[in-house]
Amino acid sequence: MRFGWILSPAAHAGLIAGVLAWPSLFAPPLPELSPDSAIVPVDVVTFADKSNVKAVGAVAPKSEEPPQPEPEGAPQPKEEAAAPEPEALAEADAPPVKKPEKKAEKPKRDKLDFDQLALLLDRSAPDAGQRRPQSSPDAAPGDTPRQAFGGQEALTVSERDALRAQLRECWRSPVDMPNPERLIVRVRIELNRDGSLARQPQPVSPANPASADPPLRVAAENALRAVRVCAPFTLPPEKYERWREIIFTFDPREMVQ
Amino acid sequence: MSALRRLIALVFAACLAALAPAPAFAALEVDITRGHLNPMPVAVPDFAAPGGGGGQIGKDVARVVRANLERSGLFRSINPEAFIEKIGDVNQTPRFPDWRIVNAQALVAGQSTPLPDGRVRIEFRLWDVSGENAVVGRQYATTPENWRRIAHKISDEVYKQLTGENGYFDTRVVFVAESGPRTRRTKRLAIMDQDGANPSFLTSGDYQVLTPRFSPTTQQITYMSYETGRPRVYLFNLENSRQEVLGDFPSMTFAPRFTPDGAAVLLTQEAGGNSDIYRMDLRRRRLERLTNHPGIDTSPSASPDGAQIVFNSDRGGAPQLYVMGADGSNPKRVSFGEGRYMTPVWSPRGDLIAFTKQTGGRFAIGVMRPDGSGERILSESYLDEGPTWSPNGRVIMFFREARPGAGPSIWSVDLTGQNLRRVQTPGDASDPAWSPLLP
Repeated sequence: MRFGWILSPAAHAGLIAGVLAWPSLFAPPLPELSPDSAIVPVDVVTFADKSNVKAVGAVAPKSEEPPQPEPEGAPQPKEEAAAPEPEALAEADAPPVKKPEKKAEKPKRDKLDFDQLALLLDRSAPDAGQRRPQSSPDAAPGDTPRQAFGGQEALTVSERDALRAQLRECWRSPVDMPNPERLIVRVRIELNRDGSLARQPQPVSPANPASADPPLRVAAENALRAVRVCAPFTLPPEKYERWREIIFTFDPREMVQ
Repeated sequence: MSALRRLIALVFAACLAALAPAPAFAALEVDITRGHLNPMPVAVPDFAAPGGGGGQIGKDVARVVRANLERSGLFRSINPEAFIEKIGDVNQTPRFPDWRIVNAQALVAGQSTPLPDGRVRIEFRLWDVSGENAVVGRQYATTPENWRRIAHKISDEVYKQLTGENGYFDTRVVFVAESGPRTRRTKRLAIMDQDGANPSFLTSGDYQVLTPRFSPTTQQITYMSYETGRPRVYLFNLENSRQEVLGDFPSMTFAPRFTPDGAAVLLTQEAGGNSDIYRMDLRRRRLERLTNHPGIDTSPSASPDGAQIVFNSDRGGAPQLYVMGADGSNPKRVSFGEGRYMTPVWSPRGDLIAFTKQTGGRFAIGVMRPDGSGERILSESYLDEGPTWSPNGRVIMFFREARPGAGPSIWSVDLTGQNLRRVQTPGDASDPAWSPLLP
């Protein structure tokens, strides 16, 4: 404690000196951080669907950014990854059901995927959805995936909007129920690399839909149905770690006039 | 110096680390704020008849369930020709992939079995196709002639499970059946199922009958009749077909409507050229005056909690809607749009008031909140009049004369205004009144 009066000014002086000396200090690169990893990814959470922040007049393409290679392990493992799904067939007591399941799964997937694609292409406005997850060479600055700490890559605004656009076609909004403002439902999903559900979606809130009041129970069931019907999701494979687990909040308030 | 450098570098590294994003593997949070309102695709294959016989009943029940769900506007019945799996036994888990291929989100599978005593057992299961689980299952034993009601009960159960609201299919509608030339019109009280099936007459055509209203709690109807020559309010008991005049007053009474508890009838009485609103207690048969104003006050309708009454009055000039306390206190005008507002009816859900509105020589059916805000027109024609609510407050029936001189017909429209349909009646029909769910 006796040296407190010495330590304090010393530390302050040190800090000021540090700030002043920063540029020179920085010359030798820091051991753990590479300069371009020092960009903190900003997660933009609640954007409306129209909020595609992509620049209108194409900004000079980021040529120095190496085009994102097709991720190594990821490319369409549709067939293999489809396999885990049937195991989620919890209480089906009739074993013969399983056989036709696998065969039939494929056509459904292809069909859904195609529909989804068509729907996205349909969206004529420079709106959500038109940007496929694989970032193309003409990506606007906001769309460039950036390396973050721990190897995570944030989803860009347009990637999020594309995901929302997929859900919009699958989610039956409870806006026509009495007091829809209160029917907010949260659902957690875990995904395989191909965007299919790794397991059954889990209700987060209400945690137990069966015991909720009827309108809330139905709202929760509709949310669970939406993610089941929408899967597989189209998401950028190189950011798999980032979207492996998603919590959707289904919130009808914006649709209430 | 190098030690200080390292210290400062560490301080900065710590600061940056504090700003780093959430730890690896945190779930991505995504808000979904836009959805669709498309009808849910539902598969209702013909009910199986594993025990032989009864096959026609199974087909008929499934057909009525399909029609009910489709008519609600909330469901789309998938064409049975597209179905892959043929359900042979309702107790077997369906092959869900077969139903996903036809895009069914729900599956109603059922069967009918004749019983030794001549009755028939009808059972069904509702399956969630994407979740691959049974939602609900029920069975009913009844006489074969009663198959329609079973179909309505099944429809109600499916509706309730999939929407979270009570259904309205096992209900009836009273209406005024009209026939004959315009100058000598016969108007009889008639009743039918909600889908127009089983129509029958309740009164003979010897006298005119108007404005029937169903009791929300009993199988009783109140209406206005000219049976004695002077317009009077009557009660009709559907269980024993008896009718009685409701209070013997010297003056004219009309526009009756039950209170939500079924214990009283609100009506209008005209005395000395002035119409006011009264409440008639059905047990004590006492009449209590609720309004006292030189203007014409009529068409009273109580809120579901019984605390308020909406009515129509021309006290401000043209007919407008007013809301007052159940005892007649604090009447407040709630309609302010252009035109004349008539026949207000409080929704059984409590959130809306339906009305007839006349503007520019045309009539419309609309809804507004009880404070008068959020007015929406659901349907409009040369003459749309007399709204009545389904017991769940989601659908409105009314009658329409499409053009001058055209006979009236009954129509239904849901709260979105998108689902307008004609209800089949044997002839011209007006003034529908929806029953509560049958017991």
